Amino acid sequence: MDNVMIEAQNLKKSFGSLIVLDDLSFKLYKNEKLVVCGPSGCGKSTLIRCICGLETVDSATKFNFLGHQIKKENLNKYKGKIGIVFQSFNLFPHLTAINNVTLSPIKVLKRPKEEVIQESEALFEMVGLKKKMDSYPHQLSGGQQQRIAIIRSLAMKPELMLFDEPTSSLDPELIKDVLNTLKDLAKSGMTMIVITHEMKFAEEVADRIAFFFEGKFTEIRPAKEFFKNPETIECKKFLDHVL
Amino acid sequence: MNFEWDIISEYYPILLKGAILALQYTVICIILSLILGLLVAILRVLKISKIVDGILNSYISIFREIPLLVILYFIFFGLSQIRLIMPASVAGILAITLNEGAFIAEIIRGGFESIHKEQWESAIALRMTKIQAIKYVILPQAIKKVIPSLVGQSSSILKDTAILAVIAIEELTFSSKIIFNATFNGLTSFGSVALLYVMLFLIINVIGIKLEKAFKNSN
Amino acid sequence: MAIIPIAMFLALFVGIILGVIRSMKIPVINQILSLYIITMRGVPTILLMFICYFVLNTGSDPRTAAILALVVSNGAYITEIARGGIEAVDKRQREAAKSLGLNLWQSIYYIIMPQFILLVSPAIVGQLVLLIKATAYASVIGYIELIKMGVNLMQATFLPLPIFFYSAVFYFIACHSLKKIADYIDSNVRMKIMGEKKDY
Repeated sequence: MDNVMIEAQNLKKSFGSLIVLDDLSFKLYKNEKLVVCGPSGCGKSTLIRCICGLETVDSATKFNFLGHQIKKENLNKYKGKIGIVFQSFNLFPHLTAINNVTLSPIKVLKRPKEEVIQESEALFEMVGLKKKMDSYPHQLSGGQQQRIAIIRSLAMKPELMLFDEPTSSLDPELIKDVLNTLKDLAKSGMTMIVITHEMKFAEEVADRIAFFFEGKFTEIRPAKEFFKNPETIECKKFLDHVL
Repeated sequence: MNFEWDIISEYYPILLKGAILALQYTVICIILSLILGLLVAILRVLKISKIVDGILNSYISIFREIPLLVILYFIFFGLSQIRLIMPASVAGILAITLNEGAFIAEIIRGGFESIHKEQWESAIALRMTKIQAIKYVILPQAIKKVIPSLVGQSSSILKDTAILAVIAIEELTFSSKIIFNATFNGLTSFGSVALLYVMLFLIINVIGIKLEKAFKNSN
Repeated sequence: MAIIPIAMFLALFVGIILGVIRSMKIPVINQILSLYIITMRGVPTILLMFICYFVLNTGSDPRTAAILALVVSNGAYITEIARGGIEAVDKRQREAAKSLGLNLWQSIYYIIMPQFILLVSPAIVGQLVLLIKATAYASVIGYIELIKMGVNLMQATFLPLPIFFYSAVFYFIACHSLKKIADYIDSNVRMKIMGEKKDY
């Protein structure tokens, strides 16, 4: 299956007695934009944290990224191939914006410094923040920090980008800029999984939308169908609530 | 070397006397340095004149950065050179009060600065004088905030009383030396005194926590 | 006076290592360290000097005893400062570093340690100032430092006032300069880099 990026079957994970992933199965295709939505809870975050290796599933029949099993020992194989952007940006406060972005390509991928700096400057240009390259995170707005967090992951040339509620901690005026960056990224062909409540954005960008409820994807359908005919009651309730 | 309970039973009067004396000095010094610190902090916040501010700031700077022992020697021995002789106990209390007063003045100043400017402005708008504003509005709030630091400073004062031993006041540390010189059993003599200090320290802390709670509830 | 830099260095060394250990919260060891810290907060420095002098049985050279007492007592405070600093570095920083492919050592070296140093430096400098002042107490066990020299001189010349005045001046200059340097570093370097995060 050459265009399958992630293949997950029967993922299970609990924290103590709390079941977070309950027999979850899905496939993610290359260049696909998958939006994950659902009531607030830690399940959605846990799922993408498992995908990029920050957490491990308790058990799974299959859990592969590009054919390789996702497990701790294999993490080194995909250094930076899976990028993740957090709700709280998590920029390194003691480094300037440009150093935040160039640190990993230089130290982890061991690429030559001049090359990395040139490419990073282009990335800053892409999000319109070229003037802020030498600023420190605390001097920047939330929206600016988040966009820099995004290009920090992009500098590693990932094949998959994960977004954990990227706009939830932003003031309303700043959300638009970040969403525009995500839209541009989507247009450029990046495979993306985005956890978000911004349903208008989902409508514009998503290929498929998944509804995460009680540990499973209770619905995972093409975007248009998702909005027109939600199948489950919980999903209907959720849509009524957010739209 | 063993911990000899016999030594304790023989010398406990000395230990007791030492502990009581240490506590007495601690309490006296806490009260006096609180008064001094409060005075200095309030005078500074009243901004009476640049000269006064300068003097007060110098006092705080100097007495926070010179070791207590030097201050003590200066007062006890140094002043005697210019015929200013005083009993050891007075010299000791004076030294500790001056030293700790400076620290407490800084702590209270921190408390004042953590109060929003608007509190001052409201008080002035209600036509209170500066002193009334401090007394009724600013000070109560500031004190509440700095109680933990003041308790911490009080345990410092307890440790400070140990230096009185060098001018032959028979408090707890001096007692430890007496017992050691008599028995040459370091573990017992110093160990028991160290233990007593830790106990006194914990008692002060417990009182401090109770005080904190009491102040919190008196809102 | 050479004991000042030696004691400083050792106290920092011991304090930071113990601080790291304490931040790992290992069951029994943590309790023991808590006991150690409480003891150091309760026992006066002078008494500690006596104890160390006795424990080391040196009889003649009080220098080691003085260094030991200073390291043991200040080390405890530095332990708590270090632990606070480690816990103040946001846990999510390690996650962000990991997600970018940095391994454990790279994360510590490039991300965690710089932030830790920037966070704890004011408190550590404050503690070192206290250490300098505490060296005066070494005189009570006969260590020939400034105060003891002063006492000896005083007994010889009966001129205590100027002697102690000069020692006071020395300590004041030493501590004050350290403070001024620390403030300068703090406002120019730390604030610029980390913004207003003064307390943790």
